[in-house]
Amino acid sequence: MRATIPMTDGSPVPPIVALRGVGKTFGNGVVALEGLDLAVRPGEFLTLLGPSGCGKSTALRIIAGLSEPTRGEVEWSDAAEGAVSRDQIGFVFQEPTLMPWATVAANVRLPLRLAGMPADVGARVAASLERVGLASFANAYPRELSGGMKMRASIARALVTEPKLLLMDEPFAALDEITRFRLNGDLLALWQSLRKTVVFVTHSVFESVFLSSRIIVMTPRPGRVFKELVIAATYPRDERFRTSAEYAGLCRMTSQALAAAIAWEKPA
Amino acid sequence: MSARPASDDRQGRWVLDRAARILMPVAVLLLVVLAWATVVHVYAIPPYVLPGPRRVLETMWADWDLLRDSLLVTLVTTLEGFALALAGGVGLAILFNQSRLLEYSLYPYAVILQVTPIVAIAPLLLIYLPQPVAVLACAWIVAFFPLLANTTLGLNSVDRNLADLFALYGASRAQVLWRLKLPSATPYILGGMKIAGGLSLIGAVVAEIAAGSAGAGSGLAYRIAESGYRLNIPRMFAALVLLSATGIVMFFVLSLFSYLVLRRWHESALARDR
Repeated sequence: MRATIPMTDGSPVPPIVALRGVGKTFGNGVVALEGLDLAVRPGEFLTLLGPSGCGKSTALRIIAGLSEPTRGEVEWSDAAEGAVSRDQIGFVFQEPTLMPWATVAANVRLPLRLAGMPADVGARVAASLERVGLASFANAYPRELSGGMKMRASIARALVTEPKLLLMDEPFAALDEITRFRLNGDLLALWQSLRKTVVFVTHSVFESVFLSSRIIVMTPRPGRVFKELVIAATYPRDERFRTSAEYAGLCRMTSQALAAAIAWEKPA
Repeated sequence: MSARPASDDRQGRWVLDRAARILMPVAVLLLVVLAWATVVHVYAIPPYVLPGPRRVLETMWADWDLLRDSLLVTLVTTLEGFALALAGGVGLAILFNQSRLLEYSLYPYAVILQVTPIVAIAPLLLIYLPQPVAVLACAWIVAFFPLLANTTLGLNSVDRNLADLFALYGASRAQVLWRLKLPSATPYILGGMKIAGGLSLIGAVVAEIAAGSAGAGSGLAYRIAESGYRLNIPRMFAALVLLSATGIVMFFVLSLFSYLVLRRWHESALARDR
């Protein structure tokens, strides 16, 4: 018997993974998260939005299993269609995190190698590179790529295992705006064609509104859910959406929520 | 008048820079040798005090059979000591990296081995070990610590995010070592090799000199000691030149090797485009 998670739209879909009352205190005494309740639903593009240091990256690392919660629990769905096992998670870090000594293809091949896959994974690697538009750079070394191309390679690596859940930790924060918009658009196209569930972390209001089907606004340290916003604008979203009045309105609403979250004081 | 395209100009400067890098040291060498020859000639210094460069070359030619054999002995000792140091230093660093307890137990003794002057250990080793083994042991002792220290540093310098990535995909200890830690440590190991190459030559020379005074040995350093006793100063110089050349060649071979391994990806091996 599993507890039902309250949802704003009242849909009965069980979450892929749910954090319940999760808290994280680091060894140096910093409380990064406190009482975080969060449910990730299948197929959604969920963004954790908050100021720097609000623990949103920590929440993502806890979902990935890279960090253990100090309090609370992480519950994974065991429903037949929604079940996600540990090896069906893809993770994209804030930095491209490529092995500098290996070619782009070898970097993308790494997850399959580590999983002990047979050597004939060339087609899967090539397909993954093709998807992010790096097919002709398979034999280049990371240092020969631009920042945006490195991030594309990093995304190709995360997708090569065909993960059901893709976790992205401020992947475009270090990129210039033009590259960032391009990658935002390409990421949305990938998300729509591959039908993945994405949990995306950012501190950019504009990025979160453009990408997400749902935004969770978090308070500053210790991080917890301040407000949940459903972005109902229809996909596909493109440059027209980015310049629309609807987008501007959603950004204003989200900015206000973020400003309120930052101003929010923990009740005594 | 200066209507040349900028790219031509840059190319020209690059060629000049390259040429200067090779020509300038050669010019300095020629100047020093010339000054040396002039001083010997002008002051009519006898060869048993200071032989001229020409005399040294003639001696090298005349004594080549003897010197060549000695060069081979020293070279083989140095290379063996270097190879053992490479295996021992990198191997021990890997063991330390896998087992903290082993590191705690043995690292202090590796340091003791390093900080005790080799000149002081050599005579003792010569008492307890056969002479060739003692010389080899000395070459190994001095060369092994830089490799241990550098490899240890390299294995601990793994990118945190990459380590997380490997953990996320459930990499085994062996996979982390082989696919992550050792590649990360490669630039450090290569740096250690450059230091260790010169040091293993020093270790071999020190032990040969110590052994020479005990009456045995046939390496280049032994030739220098022996020629000194016989006041055969030109041969001393000839052996010294060969010894020095051995060190230079080792350094260049190791530098080239390092460049070839790192040239595609590491900052140290990349040409800067300004």
